[in-house]
Amino acid sequence: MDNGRPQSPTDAATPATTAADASNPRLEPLLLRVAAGDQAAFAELYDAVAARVFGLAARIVRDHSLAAEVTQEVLLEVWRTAPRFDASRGSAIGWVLMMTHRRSVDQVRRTSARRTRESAAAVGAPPMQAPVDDAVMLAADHDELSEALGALSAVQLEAITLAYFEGHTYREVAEILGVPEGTAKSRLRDGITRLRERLEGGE
Amino acid sequence: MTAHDPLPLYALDALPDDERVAFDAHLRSCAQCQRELAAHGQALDELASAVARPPDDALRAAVIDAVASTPQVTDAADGGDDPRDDVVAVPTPASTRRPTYAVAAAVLALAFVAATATAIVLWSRVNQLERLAAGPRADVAAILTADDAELVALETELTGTLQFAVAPSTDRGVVLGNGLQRPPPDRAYQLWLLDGGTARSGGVLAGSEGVLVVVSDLGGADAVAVTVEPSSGSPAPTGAPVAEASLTNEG
Repeated sequence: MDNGRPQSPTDAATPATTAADASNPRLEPLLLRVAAGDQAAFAELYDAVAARVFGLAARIVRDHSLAAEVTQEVLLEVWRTAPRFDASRGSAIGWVLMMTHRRSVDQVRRTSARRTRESAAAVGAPPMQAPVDDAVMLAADHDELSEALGALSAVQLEAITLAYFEGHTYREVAEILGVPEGTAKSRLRDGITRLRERLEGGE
Repeated sequence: MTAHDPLPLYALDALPDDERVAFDAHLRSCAQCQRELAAHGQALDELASAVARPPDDALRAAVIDAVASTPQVTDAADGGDDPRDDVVAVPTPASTRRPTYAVAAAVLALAFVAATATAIVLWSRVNQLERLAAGPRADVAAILTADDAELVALETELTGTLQFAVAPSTDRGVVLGNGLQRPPPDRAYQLWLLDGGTARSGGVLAGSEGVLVVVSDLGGADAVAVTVEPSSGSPAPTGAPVAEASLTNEG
């Protein structure tokens, strides 16, 4: 297998399904140029993905400046490790979003660990309150999500929101919803499967 | 239940650390799962697109500026490793130079400094920790900086060293390796959390250097042990430990 060596765009194996990508140029050829050290290509890539990276990070970390930090880290990591991306078997956006998700969840864990330590150190200090704009963001996001992800059933949307947009594991999802772990797993699996089917069906 | 089953949950990043590390090991050698994972890209894109929001313009300039002075990795192909490893809770094999290397090295430096102490007083290395905490190893930083963090060396017949940094207050621990001997082909080292007579999997150790596995639910474990198992791990230990340590203070 020709692992991730920069290739001409026509050599890059690309999945046949492109239904959702009409307004979204394929990122793999761009990423191959980035892998070759092309800074102009990186600027294009940034413009193509930054809103998704920042939006996802903001949804998970619930803080504008932390989300910007995550976005910067992820994009720099994309630049640094692009030579290792294997276009023959990867989805570029999947790769970028997975990095974004992991970093965002790490950021949340780190922040909550610090808050725990700080509150342990400051006995009697008032509990942390989520800033008002975060609450607004939460409410707006819910509407936005149910509209954008209308293909999902209510329970699937709920499970995917907890796991993907709030960074919980399936075990935590089960605990939060008070359902068995197997049920939480099924809802997550069925949810992402339904999204895939709809996209692949080209609806 | 087959080894491929966790894939959709992995794609959603909804697996707990231990299961994710085990699945990473599977993914590296399973072409079918690699294709499946790539095929999930659009669905994940759909999810992220639903919450997309442009960042401030200033960020674009900062990132593009930073890129000009940031070198890229040069080892394009290294075996069958997945590029996703770079962000996975999978550590850095000694034979490669991955982006997490600097962080792994920082962890090792910390581990080395503290190697002879039972209690780790890490606050003196705040700069390294800040860097660690800002990167993909934030979970490890949280463990190492806990007030009750301790570093325990595992007794082992293997070459190299294995240490377990544990912070009961976080219910988490992390196995750190230094030059650990590689397991036999198609086999892996698996960590076990021992509590009285029972053994619970702490995950499959990945690599030989730096962070080998993060344990997210320590529970009442009073000892840890490592056995040699099939590369995807076993539900219960099948052989004698090749490394072990007690987590209770003997003095």
